[in-house]
Amino acid sequence: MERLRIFAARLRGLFRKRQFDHELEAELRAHLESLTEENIRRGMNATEAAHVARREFGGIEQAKELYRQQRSIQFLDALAQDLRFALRGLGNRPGFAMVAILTLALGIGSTTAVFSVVDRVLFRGLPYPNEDRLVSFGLLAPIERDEFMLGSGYVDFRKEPGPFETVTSMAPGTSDCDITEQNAIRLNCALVEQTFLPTLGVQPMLGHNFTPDEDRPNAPHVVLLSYSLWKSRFAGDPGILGKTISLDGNTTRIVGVLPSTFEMPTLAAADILIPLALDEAQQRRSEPGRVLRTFARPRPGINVPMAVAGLQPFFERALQGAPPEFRKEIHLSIRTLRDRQVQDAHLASWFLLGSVFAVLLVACTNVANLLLARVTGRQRELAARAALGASRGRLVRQALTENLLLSLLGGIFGMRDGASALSFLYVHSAPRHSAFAGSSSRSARYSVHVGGRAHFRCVLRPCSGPLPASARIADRKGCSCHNSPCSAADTCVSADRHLAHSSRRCRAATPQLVEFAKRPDGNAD
Amino acid sequence: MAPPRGEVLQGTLDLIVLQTLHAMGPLHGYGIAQRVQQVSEDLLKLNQGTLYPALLRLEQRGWIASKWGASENNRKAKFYSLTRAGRKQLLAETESWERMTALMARLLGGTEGA
Repeated sequence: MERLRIFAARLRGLFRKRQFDHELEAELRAHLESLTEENIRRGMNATEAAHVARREFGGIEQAKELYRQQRSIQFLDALAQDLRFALRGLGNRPGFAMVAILTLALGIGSTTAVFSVVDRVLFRGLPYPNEDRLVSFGLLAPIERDEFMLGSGYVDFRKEPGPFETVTSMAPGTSDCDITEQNAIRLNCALVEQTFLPTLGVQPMLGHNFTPDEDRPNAPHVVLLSYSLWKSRFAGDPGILGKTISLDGNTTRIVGVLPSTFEMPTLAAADILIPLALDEAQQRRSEPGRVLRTFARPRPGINVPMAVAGLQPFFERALQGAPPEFRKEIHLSIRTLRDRQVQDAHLASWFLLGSVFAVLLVACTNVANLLLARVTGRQRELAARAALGASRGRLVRQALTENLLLSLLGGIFGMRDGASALSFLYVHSAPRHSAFAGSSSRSARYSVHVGGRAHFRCVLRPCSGPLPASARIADRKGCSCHNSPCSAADTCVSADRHLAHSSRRCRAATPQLVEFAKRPDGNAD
Repeated sequence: MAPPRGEVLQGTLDLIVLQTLHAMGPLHGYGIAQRVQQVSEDLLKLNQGTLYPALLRLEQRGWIASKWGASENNRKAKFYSLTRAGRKQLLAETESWERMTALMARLLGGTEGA
C-alpha cells in the first residue's frame, strides 16, 4: 500500500515537473531570504549576511538534484531525457538517420514478410490434435501429386482399414453451391464423409457432426457451416441449429457450425460441409468409381513404413485388373498431412528464410558500421559528458536508448514494408482459393501475429550496435529481412561474394514458393 | 575551540523532522531547520539543503502533509504538518531508537566496567 502511494507520488512528480520545480525554487528562496534576514538582525551587513546564509544552507544545486531524484521515477525521467536527446541527435544528422532507418526498414520488413510466409510451412502446427499422427494415404500417379483412392476400392477398404484406426474420405476440392433464397450467394461446398471430422479430431463448435444416417444416399439434406459463414451470413445466430436454408434449390437443415480454427486438410476454402453420401452399390458397379481424397490415423504403435507394408497386399489386389503399363506408373503412398500440405516447399522455404536472414545480417552490419563511424565522430561529446559527471553506465544507457530508437523507427517502417510485401505476395502469387488468399482475414491476422514475432527479434538485434563489440555480435547472430524475395538479396550480393550464393538459391527458390502458394488447395483439387 | 559538530546520522533526520513537527505543530522548512539547530545547541551540523529532499520523502510516504501559507514575516511558505500515519511512525521509530540506545548504553557501560 505504502509502496503504491510512493509510486503514485513519484508518477505525479514525473508529469508535473515544471510546477514542482517552480515550487521548490520558491521554497528554497524563501529559506535563504529568511536566513539572510536573521543574519542581518545579528548585525551583519547585507553582503556578508547573504554569504553566510549560503554557507549555512549548503549546496543549493545539490539539494535540488537530490530533491529531483527523490521526486520522480529516475528510470523514466532519464529515459525521457535520453529519448529527447536521441531524437535531437537524429534530427541533426538527417542523412545518417535516413540511411540507417531505411536500411533497417528494408532488412526488417523483408524478414518479417518472408518469415510470415514460411512460418506456416516450417514451424506452425496444423490445427488438429495429434496432427503428426494424421496421414494422407492412397495411390500416386504421375499426373497427380497427391494421394487418392477410387470409390470402388475404398468402399470395401473402409470396412477393414488394416493398419489404420480410422479412415475417412472427401471429394477432391470444393464445388460451387448456391444459397438460393433472398440475397443468394455462391459458396464453396466440400463433400465429406461422416467420419471426416472425428478422424481429424475436430468437434463442431455448435451442434453435432453428421450421423451415419445423414451420410447415406437420398438422405434428407443437412450441412455444417463454417465459422466465417455463420458469422457473416447468419450474424453468429446461436439458435441457428435446425433452421433450414435453400441450397441449390433443396431445403437443407443446418446441423452444426465448425470452430473458427477449422481448416480443410487440403487447405481448400470451404464454406459448407455436405455429407458425401457414397452409394456403395453404385461405386462397385461403376468400377473404378469416383476419385476420393483419403485420410487416416494409423493404429497406435504403427508408423508410416509399417502402414505402407500393411497396405501393400490390398494395393496389389486392387491393381490386379489394371493393365501392366498402368500398374508400373502407379504406386502406394502414405505421408503425414503436414508433408502433403508442404510438398517440396520445405527446402525452398529454408533457403528463402536463410537468404532473407542474410539480408538482415547485411543490413545490421551496415547500420552497426554507420554507428561505429558516428561514435568515432562523437568522442569529443562523450568525453565532455563524462567530464561533466556522467557515469560510464549512463553513457552506455544513452547509446542504447539512441540505438533502440533507431531500431524502433526502422521497425515501424519495416512493418509497413513487410505488410506491403505480404499483400503483394498474396495478391499476385496466390489464386482465390489458396491457403494464403482464401481466408484472407485469417491469414492477415495471422501474418501480423507472426510478423510481430519475427519483428521483435529483428528490432532488438541491431540495438547492440553502437558498442565496439556489437559489430561482432550482429555478425554472429545475424538477423535478416526481405521485401520481394530476390530484389533485396540481389542488392546485398554486390557487397559480399559469400552471399551471391544464397541469392542464386533464392532465385531458384522463389518460383517454387510461388508455385507452392498456388498449390496448397489448388492443384488437382 | 568549538566542540566538534556531529554529522546527522544516516536515517535519523526523518526521526528528527517528525519529532520537531510533533512538538511544534505545522512549520515551514526554515522553521524546522532553525528549531533543529536550536535544540541541538549547534552540536549538530545540519546541511539545511538536505532537509528538503527529506521532507519530500516523508510526504511521499504520507507521514507529513504540506500546504502553502504565509509565514510570520508574511512570506509565502510551505507549511509541513504531521499526519496520523506520521504520528504512528514517530511512535514506532522513537521506540526502536530507544531500544537501540539503551542497548548501546548497556554495551558501552559494560566495556567501561570491565
